[in-house]
Amino acid sequence: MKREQGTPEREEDRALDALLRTAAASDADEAATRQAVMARLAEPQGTARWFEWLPPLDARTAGAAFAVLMLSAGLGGYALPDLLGGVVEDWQLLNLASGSTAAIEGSFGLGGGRG
Amino acid sequence: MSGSDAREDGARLMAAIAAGDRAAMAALMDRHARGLRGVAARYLGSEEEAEEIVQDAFLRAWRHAARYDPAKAAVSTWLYRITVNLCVDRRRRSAFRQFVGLEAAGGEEMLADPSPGAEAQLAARSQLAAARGALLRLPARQRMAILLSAVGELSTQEVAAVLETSQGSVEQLLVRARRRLREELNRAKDVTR
Repeated sequence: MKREQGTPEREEDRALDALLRTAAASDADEAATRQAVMARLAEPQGTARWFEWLPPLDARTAGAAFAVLMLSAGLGGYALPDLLGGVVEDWQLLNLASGSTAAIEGSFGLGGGRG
Repeated sequence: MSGSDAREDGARLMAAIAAGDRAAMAALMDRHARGLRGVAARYLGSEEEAEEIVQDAFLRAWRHAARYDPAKAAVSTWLYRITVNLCVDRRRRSAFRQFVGLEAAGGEEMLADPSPGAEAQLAARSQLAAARGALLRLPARQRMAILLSAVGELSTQEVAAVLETSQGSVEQLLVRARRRLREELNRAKDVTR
């Protein structure tokens, strides 16, 4: 959309913006992006597998990571859900809050001997 | 097409998408994918990550099309808002993973402070490479504001809506970003002379 306000008034600003537009130009294959999105639209919408980004963890590492999260939240003044919101999707906070080792391991996808 | 016509057209497109019209979805991608990718790529410093972000943004738009309210924002503003949130999440996640040792530090650090190796020196000779490097060294909020303005071609009002801040704050961010970019680009020119 063309801007209606905020158009740089100075020539040097307009030149800079033009340079940035050129720098941001990509030779990415737009058709491939469209095909990939269309293919993903057909996928069933299940629960987000947020733990896919985690490498396999043993219970001790998972516990240590959780302790670091709590510490970071405390030191950084973040609410834990906010902090976690940037890290995982569909976080099973209730499982963690329950303090159950099995539930925590489940949250990290450690069931079935993954750890 | 005037601003109000564009908004009405966007609203019709989103209504069709909410009804499951895939051709409308394809049209939405044709209109906005390039701009979204440009902003994401230069914000994150990675074409690969930008591709993932753009795909995720369109998937979210598809799933939540019924929530789009044309009275609140233009479609482009809404899409940029989704993309910005995904970019910020990606950065935060990466920083956290580095913090807990799940990801090697480097990516942005290296981009933010390129080593004076032969490759970097070669890249610095290109004005575009210099511009990309300078963008990555901007503070995140300045970087996003200038990208939305210059690459996304959003108005100050629209950038303010995307970043959830005031127009005055956006103007400040843009002034600082442009000043710093010009300084960096002038320095790069001096080095290559």
